[in-house]
Amino acid sequence: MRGDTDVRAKTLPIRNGPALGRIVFVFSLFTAVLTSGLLVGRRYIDPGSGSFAIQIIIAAVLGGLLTARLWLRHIFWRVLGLVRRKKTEAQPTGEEADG
Amino acid sequence: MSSRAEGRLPGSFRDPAGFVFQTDGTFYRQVNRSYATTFDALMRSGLYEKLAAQGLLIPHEDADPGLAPEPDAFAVIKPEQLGFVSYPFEWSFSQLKDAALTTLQVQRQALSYGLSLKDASAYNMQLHDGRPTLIDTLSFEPYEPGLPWVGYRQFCQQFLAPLALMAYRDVRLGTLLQGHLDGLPLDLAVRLLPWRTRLRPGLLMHLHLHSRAQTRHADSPQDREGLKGRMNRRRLDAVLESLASTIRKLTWNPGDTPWASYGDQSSYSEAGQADKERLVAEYLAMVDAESVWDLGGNVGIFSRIAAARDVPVVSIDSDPGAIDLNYRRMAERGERNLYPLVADLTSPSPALGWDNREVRSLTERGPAGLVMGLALIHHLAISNNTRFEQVAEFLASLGRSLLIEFVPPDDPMVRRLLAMRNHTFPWYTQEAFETAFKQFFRVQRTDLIMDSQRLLYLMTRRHE
Repeated sequence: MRGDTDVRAKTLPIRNGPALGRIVFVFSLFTAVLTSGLLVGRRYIDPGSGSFAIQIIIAAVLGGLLTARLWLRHIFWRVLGLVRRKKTEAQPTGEEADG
Repeated sequence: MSSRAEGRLPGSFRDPAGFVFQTDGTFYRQVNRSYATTFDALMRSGLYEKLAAQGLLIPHEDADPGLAPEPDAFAVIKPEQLGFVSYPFEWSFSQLKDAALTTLQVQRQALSYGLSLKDASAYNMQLHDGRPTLIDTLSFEPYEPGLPWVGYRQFCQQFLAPLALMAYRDVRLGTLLQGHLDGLPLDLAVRLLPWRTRLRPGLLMHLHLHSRAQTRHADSPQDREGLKGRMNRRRLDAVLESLASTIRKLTWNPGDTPWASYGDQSSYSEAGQADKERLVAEYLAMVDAESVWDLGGNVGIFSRIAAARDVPVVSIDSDPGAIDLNYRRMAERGERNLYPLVADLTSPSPALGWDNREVRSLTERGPAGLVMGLALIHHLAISNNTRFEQVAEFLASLGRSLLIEFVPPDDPMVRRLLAMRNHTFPWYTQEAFETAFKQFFRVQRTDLIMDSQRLLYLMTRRHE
């Protein structure tokens, strides 16, 4: 009985189809790849990549804000210009009135 | 800056563009052939003249190319010589902040000349003529439009992170740089920063989100080609401006801390203080040393008397508040010969980096022509339990001459220190002091300071 159990335990993951053993195997492999990646990665970590990535994002956000500010300023002066022109048109100068 | 080694400096090995070497006590920089085009661009574009004229880059003159100690030399330059080399973990808050802003100023000007800083190392910023100056003439590379700044990470780690920690947590955290020569790892910095720093947009972006991005992208290396076209000049300028404004907003005031009472700590009467200043000036004139180290220099009152002789004066104190006030005063007045330094004499800065030879220990940067130890001996002997013989031997290793003040056992300041101790110091006597120091020095002159029991000694060391 004891021997039977041993054989089954050894052959099960390979012979049987989508059995628990295969799932465990795939899961372990996946975990191994992940953890080996982490263990090896600790020494091969490249903080530079993240720094470039965040710098590009920050640059885009700040650049966007700058553009928005310039654009708003532009609109503001345009509107102010229109208002002033209207005011000038509405109140003709003394010279024009005399003329 | 003194060092007895000849040839390439042990710490100058990272940059393929060239290296620093020493011949007959003078420091030179070899420019390698591989860097010829960029070096020409720096010199011919007008950037060098502009930066040098503003004191942002160390001026140099052409030297004999035959001096090059190694093959592959394109040129040899002789930079203006530094009075003293110090390291970021020895700087006060304001000096690190000024060095950071200078780095950004150099980078902005370089960009407008089609060049860019290829790194942002704080070790390249040394005090020269009273202001932080870029000393690595080979720090530039051609600016490639569309690329982000390669020095960004290093800038955040070497400048922004320690400054934020000093401003928001504790100024003593600046010494963390001693264990991290490439700057503070950002994940460590953000763990130490208070939560409220997330509410400051600059610190949120450049430290907190930056650290998170480093973790997220840790296993996806980026190559230079892949980065091209992801940035433009306007955006790059916006990043630099954001960094500068974040740094400018970081403040730390010694007045907000327990070190608030500088200036009124003098144990002398007005006449006594004036007499001590006069005697120190006389002793300085007698020795006429080429360099001075003022140990326990506090805010630099006596350092300034020495600096008036137009020699480099290193003003050392373990108190970051005193050194910050000293540095600020120096910067405000445009004083050119002072080098304020945060260092603990009972545990001086060690040699660090590759093979322990990249960063020199404090003692290796000596000896000075003259060492001043004013109102210092009782701190070393009583607070640190150091025997007079040990103090004498240590001071003899730091300088060829010694100007030292003996504070007698019945002095109010000594009594104050003794009151805090649970054992007595029977050996703390003038006689024992003289016997110990005479083993290492010859006494040239002794004076009693007016209105006090304190004595000033001028000594020269017995062995060269």
